[in-house]
Amino acid sequence: MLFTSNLYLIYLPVVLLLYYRLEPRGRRMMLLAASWLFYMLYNPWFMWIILATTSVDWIAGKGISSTENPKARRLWIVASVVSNMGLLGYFKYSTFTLENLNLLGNFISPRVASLVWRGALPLGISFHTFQGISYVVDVYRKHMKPVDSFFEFALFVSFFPQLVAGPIVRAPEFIPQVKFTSSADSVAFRRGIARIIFGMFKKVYVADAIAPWVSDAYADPNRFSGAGLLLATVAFTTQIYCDFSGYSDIAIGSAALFGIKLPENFDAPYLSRSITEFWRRWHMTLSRWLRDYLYIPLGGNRRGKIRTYINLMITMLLGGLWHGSGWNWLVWGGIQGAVMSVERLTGLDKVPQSRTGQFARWLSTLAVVLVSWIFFRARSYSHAMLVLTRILSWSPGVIHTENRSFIFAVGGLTLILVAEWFNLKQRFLAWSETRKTAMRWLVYACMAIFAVTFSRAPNQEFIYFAF
Amino acid sequence: MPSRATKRILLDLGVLVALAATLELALRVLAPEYGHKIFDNKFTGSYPVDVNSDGYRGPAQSKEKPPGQLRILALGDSETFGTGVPSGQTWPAQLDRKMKERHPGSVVINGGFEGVGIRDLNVAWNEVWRDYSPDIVVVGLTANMVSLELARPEPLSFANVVASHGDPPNRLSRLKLLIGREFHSIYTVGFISIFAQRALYWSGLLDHRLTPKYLYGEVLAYGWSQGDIPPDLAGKAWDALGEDLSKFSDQIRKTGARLVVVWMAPRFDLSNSWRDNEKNIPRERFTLDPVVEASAIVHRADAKFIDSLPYLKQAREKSVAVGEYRALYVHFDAAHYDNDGNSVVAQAIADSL
Repeated sequence: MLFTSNLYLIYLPVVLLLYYRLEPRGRRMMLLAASWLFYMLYNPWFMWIILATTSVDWIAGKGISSTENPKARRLWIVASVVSNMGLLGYFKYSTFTLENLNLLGNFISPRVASLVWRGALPLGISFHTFQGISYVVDVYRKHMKPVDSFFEFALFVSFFPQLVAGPIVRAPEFIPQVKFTSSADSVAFRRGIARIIFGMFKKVYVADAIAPWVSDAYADPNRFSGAGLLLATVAFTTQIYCDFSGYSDIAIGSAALFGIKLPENFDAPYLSRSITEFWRRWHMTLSRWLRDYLYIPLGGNRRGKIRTYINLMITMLLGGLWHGSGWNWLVWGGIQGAVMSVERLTGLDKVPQSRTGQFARWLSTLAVVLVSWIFFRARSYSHAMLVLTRILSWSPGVIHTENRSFIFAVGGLTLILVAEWFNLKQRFLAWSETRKTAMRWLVYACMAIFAVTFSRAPNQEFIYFAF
Repeated sequence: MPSRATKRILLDLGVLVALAATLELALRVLAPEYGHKIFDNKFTGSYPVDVNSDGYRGPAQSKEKPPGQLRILALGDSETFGTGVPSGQTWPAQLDRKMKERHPGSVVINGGFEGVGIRDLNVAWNEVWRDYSPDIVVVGLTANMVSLELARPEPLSFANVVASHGDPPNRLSRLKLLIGREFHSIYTVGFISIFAQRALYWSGLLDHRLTPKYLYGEVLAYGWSQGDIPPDLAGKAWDALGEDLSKFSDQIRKTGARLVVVWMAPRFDLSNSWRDNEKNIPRERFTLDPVVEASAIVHRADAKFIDSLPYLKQAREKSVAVGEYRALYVHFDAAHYDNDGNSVVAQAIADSL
């Protein structure tokens, strides 16, 4: 089920209505059932993956806490990581691995080749496997006690507002909230609804309006001029942000209606003055996960400068691969890691004092982000290089100027920057907290506008559903 | 006892229902055009689809042609059928009246059906129309027919086309149709759906992109440029149309009849104003002139070609000059002609016959 569908406009109120009629224990079970149904309405066939990883991680958590024997504890954590990463690897990376092994020499037998997964990626697999791993590691590190109730743990893995594309939640911040001894008060409720509205507007009326235009340019870059491709890339910069942060807003807003606080995922990333800062503001829950469960275990910055840069590169390369299996993802991650290393080496990760210096850093950071989005959006590495070459050589070709393309590209990005500079989202959320009547009528109006839009315009999937 | 929140929501709903009722009444009085939104198997633009016993629109004609009768057969898709207008206002019906002024013994048969292409006309000719022995066959060629050459390779049979105006097969379908009809007879629904569509086109959420797997739509005929559509696809569609038209022309010539093809210009061709291009179709993406393409294939098929666009433009300019703006197209429709538009097309054909 898509957040931006009429079904969700009905599903969420119905689940809320049932939820607030039940006692805490019943609420938990009802929410778990609603979460599993939410997933199955999208694709019932992959439900077994969620059930399997949930069971393995819950048992592993129990196993780790039941013994002080280091070998046994390590065995449990290995079992959990291998099962999660094994599933992720099989569904997400087996085709990519096979293709590249074949390039090295045709030594993979057709029988083995026929075993690789070539179908659609199970929805949300990159997110819920990471959550499962983080739980087992936290129990192993004794940062938390194992969860006694299987259903409580299953709700942590499957909670429908964040099941498909995050934010990636950690068990210590989620589990205490599912006791449901308290619920959202009217202020938090209004704030949650305002956040959903804000997210839906960003996703539907900004990201989705831009999407076809960007797809057009990236479908066949050879036909497009350098200027057209540059405009399309600027437009994608707007699209990806409004799509993913819109999703996160809807997820966080929906969770808030049940009295559950999810971590923030974005904090004005396009205002960053370095790539290091950008990753503190973009997909913050993934950055946090990579830092705590990959970068720090690798040694972080505790083993000398050279090792720090290597660790940074490994973390960002794997972060790139987390998004997708392809050389373009590896390059995308590599760009982030390399620039972060250079920033660390030269001190460019520190915010300069002068306004001019800040402006120059902001502009150069945005340029790096823009170039890296080419690798993010392109189908493959060679495709990305084609786009980049055509932009840099200012190649002649088509440039579709209709549908306010320039407004889409430059206007959209400007709109984001202005909105973030003036913190319009927080102002709107603060406004919603105190405006009872206005919010009520705003909700009715938005419900009608969204219902008409969802029933007539083609529903675009969220970009991060593919990861 | 209902809780405070429930009471408040019920009160709000009451206010909303009252507002909707007021809007409905106002629209019925001030803007009756918003009520013309029933399009189903029995109504078109809320006018009855009065098909005759032989299945086509307008009065039924006997297959045997009376001696001395000039019989003209009008073939084409919804623009010939007359979507959105009563049967007396279609261009074949108006051509019939105009021709009778010159040739009292003439008759025009409306053989148009929604969603058909030239390939379907070939089949229909062999199945049905050849037996009517027309002297002249006039085909209303539309941009959609060009797309159909690629989108629907298998032709439709005439019986299946006629069946689309039959009764639904079961009770559930009949009930659905009835509910749909009642729903669309509410003026507010028409008003909201029209403005919602405009807003979605304006915002870019609806556009004219072709789906590579389903190439339906009117823009392919104009050589629509789109990243994931091969640039030569429009040319291929026109080539296929040319072949089918030549086959059709050969069949018609064998019976001694003449073929005339009229290019039925869509509304966005009339001007660049927002009123004529509500769907925001970007002309920058066009790489072909459909009139040039149509004219070439029609001449190759040894038939006569008429371009309706200059006639429509002239009629529009005249109406503006005298201060009586005439849309020439059905309200909120980018393709189908209204009474005035059909009259212009009928006159253009009558003048060249």
